[in-house]
Amino acid sequence: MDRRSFLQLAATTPAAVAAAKSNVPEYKVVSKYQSTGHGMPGMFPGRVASVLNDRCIDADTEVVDKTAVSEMMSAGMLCLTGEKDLRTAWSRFFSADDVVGIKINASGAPGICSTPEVVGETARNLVAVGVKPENIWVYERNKSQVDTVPYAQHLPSETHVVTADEYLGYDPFMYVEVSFFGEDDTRSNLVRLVSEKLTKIINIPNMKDHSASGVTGCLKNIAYGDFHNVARSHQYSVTNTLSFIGTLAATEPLRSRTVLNIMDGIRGVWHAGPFSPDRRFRFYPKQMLFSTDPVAADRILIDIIEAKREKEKAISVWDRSEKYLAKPREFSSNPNLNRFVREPGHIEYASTLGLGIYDKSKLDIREIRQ
Amino acid sequence: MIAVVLFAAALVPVPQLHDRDAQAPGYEKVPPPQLQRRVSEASATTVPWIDSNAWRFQRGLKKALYADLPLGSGPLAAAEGYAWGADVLLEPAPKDAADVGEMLAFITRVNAPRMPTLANLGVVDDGSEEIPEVLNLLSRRNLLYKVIKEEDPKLDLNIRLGSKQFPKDSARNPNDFAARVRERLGDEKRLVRIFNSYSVLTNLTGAGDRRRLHLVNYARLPAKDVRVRVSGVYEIVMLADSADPAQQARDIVIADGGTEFTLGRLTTYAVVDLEPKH
Repeated sequence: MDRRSFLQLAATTPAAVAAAKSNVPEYKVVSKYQSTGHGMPGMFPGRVASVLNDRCIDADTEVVDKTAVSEMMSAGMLCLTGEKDLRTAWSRFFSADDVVGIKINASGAPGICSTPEVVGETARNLVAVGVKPENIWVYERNKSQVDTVPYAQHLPSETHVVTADEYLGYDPFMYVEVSFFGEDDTRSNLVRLVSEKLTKIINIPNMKDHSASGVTGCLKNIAYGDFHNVARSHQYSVTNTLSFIGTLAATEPLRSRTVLNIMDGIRGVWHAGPFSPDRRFRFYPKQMLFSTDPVAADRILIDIIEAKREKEKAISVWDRSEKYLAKPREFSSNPNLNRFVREPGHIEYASTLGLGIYDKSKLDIREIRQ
Repeated sequence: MIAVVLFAAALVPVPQLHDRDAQAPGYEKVPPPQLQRRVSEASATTVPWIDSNAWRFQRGLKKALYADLPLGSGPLAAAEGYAWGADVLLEPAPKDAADVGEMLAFITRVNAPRMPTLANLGVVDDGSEEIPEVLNLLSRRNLLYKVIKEEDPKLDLNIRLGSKQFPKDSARNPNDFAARVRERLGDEKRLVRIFNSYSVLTNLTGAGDRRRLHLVNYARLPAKDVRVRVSGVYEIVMLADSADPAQQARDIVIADGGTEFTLGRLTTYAVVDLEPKH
C-alpha cells in the first residue's frame, strides 16, 4: 500500500468521520420549510451515469462542440433514468408547472465555469417537456463572475440569468447560524430566489480541485453556491468545510428542490481551485456525470481529481501534513502546496446526513463512451 | 440589563462647518473616519478595517474637530459625530460642500432631544495604553458599552483588562478579544446586531420604552440588505435615511425576543425610531 492509498483509507473510515463529527460546530438552522421527500439523494440514490466523449472540446482552443455536448446529455439522461425516450426521461423530474433554477458555477469564470453549451442544452430540454422559458432561472451568487460568460446567447430569449447580489438578494428568514472563529456575522442566508420562486433546481457544477474542501463538485456548488457569508468558514489553515457543506446542502427548501445534478467535466481544474487563473492547472476530462445523488457523483469526482494529481505528481487532496501549508500566492502556483488543511471528507460527512451514498462498492456507476 | 450612559435632554448641536484658518478652542482634533479594505492572510474574506471615532465619543470626548477632511469623508464625519452625540466642527474638502450640506440638512430634520446612550457592557478605563484599542474593537463590533471607573453590577458584563476573564494579553489580537467579550456576554444579550455588513456601526439611545438607533455606514459604497436586530419587541415609528427619503424597513419580524428588519440600501446614515409593540 503506498502512502496515497493509506491516507485515503485512513480518511474514509467510519471512525475518522465519527471523530470528525465530534468536532462539528453547533449549527442552528432557521427555516419554515419542510421536506417534500423529493430532493437529494433523489430518485436514484447511488446511481451515476458517466458519459465520456472525446469530441466535446478541443483541448488546445477550448472550443466546445455543441453537437457532442447534446449527445452526451441525451445519453446521460437516458442512462440515469433507464428510459428510452429523452422527453420521458426529463419528464421524470420536470413538468410544465415547474419554475426551474439552473445553479451554475462561475466561481472560476471565465477560465472555468458551467459550460454555456451545457446550460443551454439543459434549458432546451426543459422547454421540450413544457417548462416555460420565462420559468427557467439560470443563477449564481456574484454578477461580476457571471458577466464574463455569454450564457444568454445559448438560452431561449425569455430565460433569466440572474445573480443573488443583484436580484432578490438573500432570504432573511432562512439561514444557518454558526460561529466558527468568533466572526461577528454568524448567519449564512439562502439565495432568496430559491426559497421564493423556484420549485426545482438542477445543479451544474464543474470538476474541480478546491483549496479548502479538497474537491468541489455537486455538494459544494449547491451549498456554498446558494448561501452567502460562507468564506468565513476558513481561517489560517483551518477550514470547516468538512461539516458546513453538508449542513447547508441538507437544509430545506434547498434539499427538496435540488432534484438533478449534472457534473460538467468538459473542462476541469486539478490544482488551485476553485479559481482558474492559470491554465497550467486546467485539464479536460471530457466527461459528464448525471445523478440525483450528489454524494455519489462527488465520490467519483475525488477519484478523477486524485488520478490527475497523481499523474502530475502533485500531493494528494487527502494530505493533511502541515509541511505543505503555504500562503495563497505560493499555493496558487505550486501543486505540492496546500492553502488549507483540505477536507475532502466533506463528501462522506454529507452521506451521514442522508444526502447520498459514499461507499463506492454500493454505487451503481453506468459508464458510456461515445 | 441596560445602563444609561449619558443624559442630556437638550438637542445635540448639528455639526457646523469650520473655517480652516480659525481657531477652535476646546475642540479636540480627531482623524477622518474611513474604511480600508485589507486583504487578510488569516481568512479567505476581506473584512474591512474601520477607522471610527465612536470609541472616543464613548470615552467622553464631547467636542471634536474634523480637520482637513479628505475628499468624500465630509458627510460620514458629520454623521459619525452627530450619531454619537458630539459637538462637532467640520472642515470638509471643498468639493464635498454640496454633499456635506445635504447631510447637515438631513441631521437638522431628524434632530430631536437627545436620549441617553444605552449599553449593557462596561469597560473599566484604567488609563492603560490598551484601552483605546479595546474600546475601538468593541465599537467596531457593535458591542455596546459604557466607560466606567469601577465595575457596575447592573451591567451584564464588566470588562477590566488584567482580570482573569480578560488578561492584558487577550487585547493583543482584535478578533480574539472581541470573540472573548461576545462569548462572555452571549449573543442573545446583545442590544443590537448587524448582519450582512461589516461596515455599519451603530449607536442605540433610549429613554423609557422609546429607542432611537443610529446606523452609520463607513464604506464609500452603499451597504445592501443590511439586517438589523434590536433586542426587545418594537415597532418602527420612523425611519429616515440620509440618501433615500423613500427608504422603508422591510422583512420585519419579531423573533426570540428581538425585532429584526432589513434596510435595502444604506448609503451613509439612517435613524430609526422604535416604540414598544403592543
